[in-house]
Amino acid sequence: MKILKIEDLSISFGGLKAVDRVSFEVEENSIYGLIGPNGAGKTTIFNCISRFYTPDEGKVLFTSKTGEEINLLDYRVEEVIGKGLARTFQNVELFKMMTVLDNITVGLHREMKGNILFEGFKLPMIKREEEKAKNKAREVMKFLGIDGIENQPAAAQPYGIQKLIELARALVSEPKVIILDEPAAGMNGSETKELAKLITKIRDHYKTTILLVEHDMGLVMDICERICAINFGKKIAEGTPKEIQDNIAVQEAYLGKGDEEDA
Amino acid sequence: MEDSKGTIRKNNRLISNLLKGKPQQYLVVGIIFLLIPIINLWTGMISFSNMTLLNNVVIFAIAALGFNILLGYAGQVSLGHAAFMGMGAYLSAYLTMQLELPFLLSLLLSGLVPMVIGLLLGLVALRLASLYLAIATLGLGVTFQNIFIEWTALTGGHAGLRRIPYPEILGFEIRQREHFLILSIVILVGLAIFSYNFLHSKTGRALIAMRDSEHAAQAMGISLFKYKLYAFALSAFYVGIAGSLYAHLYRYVEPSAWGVELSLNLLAMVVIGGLASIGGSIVGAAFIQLLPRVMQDLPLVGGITNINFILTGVALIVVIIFFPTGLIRRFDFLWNKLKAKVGKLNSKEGGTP
Amino acid sequence: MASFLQNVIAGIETGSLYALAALGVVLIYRVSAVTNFAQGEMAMFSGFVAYSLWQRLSLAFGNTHVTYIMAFIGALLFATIFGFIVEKVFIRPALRGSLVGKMIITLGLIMIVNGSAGALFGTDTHAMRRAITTPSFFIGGLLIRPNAYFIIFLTLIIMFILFYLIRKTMFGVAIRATAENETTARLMGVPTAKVSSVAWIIATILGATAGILIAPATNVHTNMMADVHLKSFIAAVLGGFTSFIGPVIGGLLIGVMDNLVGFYISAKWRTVIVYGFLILILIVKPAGLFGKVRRKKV
Repeated sequence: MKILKIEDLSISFGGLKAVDRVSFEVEENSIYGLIGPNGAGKTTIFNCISRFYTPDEGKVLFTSKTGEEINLLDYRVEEVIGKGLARTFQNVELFKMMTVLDNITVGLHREMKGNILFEGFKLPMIKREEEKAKNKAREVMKFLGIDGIENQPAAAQPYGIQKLIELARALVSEPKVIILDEPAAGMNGSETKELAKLITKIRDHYKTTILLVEHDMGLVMDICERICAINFGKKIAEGTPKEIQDNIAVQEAYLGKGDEEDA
Repeated sequence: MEDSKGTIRKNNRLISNLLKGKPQQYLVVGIIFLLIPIINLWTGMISFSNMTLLNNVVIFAIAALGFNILLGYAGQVSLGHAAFMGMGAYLSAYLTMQLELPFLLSLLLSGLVPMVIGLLLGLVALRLASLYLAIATLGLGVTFQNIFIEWTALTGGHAGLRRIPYPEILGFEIRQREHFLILSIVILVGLAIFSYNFLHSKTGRALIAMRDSEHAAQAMGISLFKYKLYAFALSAFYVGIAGSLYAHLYRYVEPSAWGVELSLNLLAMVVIGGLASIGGSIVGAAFIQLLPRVMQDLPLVGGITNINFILTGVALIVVIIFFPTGLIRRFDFLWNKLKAKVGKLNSKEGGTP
Repeated sequence: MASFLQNVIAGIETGSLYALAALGVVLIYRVSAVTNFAQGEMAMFSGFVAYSLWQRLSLAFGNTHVTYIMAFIGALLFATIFGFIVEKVFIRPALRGSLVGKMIITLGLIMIVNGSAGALFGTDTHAMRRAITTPSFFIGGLLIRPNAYFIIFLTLIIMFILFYLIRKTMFGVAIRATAENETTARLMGVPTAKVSSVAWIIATILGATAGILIAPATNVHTNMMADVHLKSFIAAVLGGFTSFIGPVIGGLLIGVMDNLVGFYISAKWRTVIVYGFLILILIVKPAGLFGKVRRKKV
């Protein structure tokens, strides 16, 4: 089943078309990659899907947690995670002054019951909710191998750990689809290999679908089942890693023309 | 020998359990401070004016607590919160004098009405970046001070309102400063515990998340709309309550008390005491309120006009440049050091269990 | 008709002073990313300096135009040093601080400057003379106030000089480069520290000029700039902090509106009405009339 269908997505900034009629479909429980040179519009597409931007045209059809197909564009940015789609950011966006555990617990914001009066008087129901959420957060930390730092401030963690905390925060709500914006940025070769293993493990363990934007071609080719290549806001190719590697347009976008120096 | 050690350990555990959670600490500290007015009722050691000052500290601690929710936790700037305190003061005066409502009801309403106005301000704040918000709230403060002056039918204009009734609770009229202090400490401790609880739940995490990264907060399902409104409404509620207490303590309200200077002082209390800290709000309020009293007794500098205002400004800048987390975290730091030392001593004496 | 015209001219008169002060605020904001909430208080302090100098000089040499001009120039010299010191001592150490942190520093400055003014000059109110003392006269029912025309004329000249500096000179290029991106400008060899210093000096001089010129209307006292200061900020907000011409238009708009509302609607409620108008504009255009809303980068 296709869990996510992007149809004819277009958005322009100040007259410049950043994304131009891009369509692609993501199979449930797969790892799908979005590639392209710098400024090709990958992150913009992500931001449209996660509703930070509102595209000028197109649809983002998504099979939500309840099993019905919805157009995400009918929802506000903060409603997206409740439908079952969570994301990470290109430049790790943690809540710096919070503890690691609290950071991850925020991922359960939508699922926690209670209101400010109940909280203020600390009703037993609030205690139970807190307990449940914290336990869930601890589980995810354990799964990702970052347990033991629960009560340390998030900002004090090394960059690699911060990325994992952010991942945990997105995972804790057990989303149907999780979108990762350049998860390998700033990592060396062996770290990237570890990450590749981890992403596959997450997919298998949480039965989730992963959509990732990535610069690191090695990572994308390794783990993605299907890939969509973008250049100048337009889709130039789609297929298996092998097909993408052999595609002339993709090779030109990355190597030829000499106006992009990305690899 | 073995036995006495056991009881000591048990006692230690009892005490540490009692002080384990912050709410319990607030309660214990509150009870200790309640002793001041109670003892003073017998001894009269503390003068009337100093009792007034202590009342002032507690009232402004309530206001600072509310302001800290806005600035410290939610990261929203306001330079006009004096307006809400004035609103609370005038409202409470009006409700008890003109409508002859009971004190507790008018106290509550003096929090709730500013809260509604705060909601409206929150709606405006939603659209503005912090710089524009600061200026908009600065204007709001000036505007409300203007309203306090011009709406003479309700506020008495420049002359203000006099002879506001003493607070009356269950038939008991609070006339003495000591009794008033008991009332305000109880309210402060109650609000501090309430605040601690919700700040350490979903709501508090949402506020802090919004402050640290709006984008990540939104991606995690936090509605900026809802929580910005929360922050403004809550802070206006606390500040309004403080205003009402102020009116009933002095039994006199006039417009000049609710100007930019007060808004700046509220901000100074929170920044100097410690952003995003309940204890910090109280320490900051005490600092700002006690500073004039301390300065006035000092030789030479005490005579300089405006020395308090100048020093508050200096303290504000020094704290923001050198200790951006505020005084309370300095105390915490020293306290933890002390605890570590005491812990070491204890373990040396007792040996490993 | 005459009274309408008179109100408009009076509005342009005060409005041009708001514009001067607002230009200072925007200049500082653009160059060092600080909103200087102490701008008004600093101007008040310079106003006091001008007043004291004028008093002293008049006592020594008699109350002539020359002594007034000397006091004026003396106060501007003082403002030069004042702006320089404030930037060096208070702003430079916090250069890397957060936006709100820097804002709070200038709020602390309000307390220090206002408090010091009270401590040094006292809390009394003093009358200041006008720049042009020629008495007002009528031309066909229209009251002509020479001082008002002088103020409008002077601010126009100052603005032209300033715009010329910003648009046509190397210094202007440096200012605009620093405003655009401090780090890049510094790496490109722009002496950003010097630029920030000069911006503070210019802004303080602009504020002082506005303060001295408005003093005859407000009198000299520690709160003299409260209203002007708020209005200049509103002018900057209306015009948007992203342009230099916006605040000027914003200032004139506020000045004229304030006068017309005060005359035709209600003198009592004019502050409330003008402020309500600002809020309305901000709700519709959150970055001001001429400001550009930049899409937040995610």
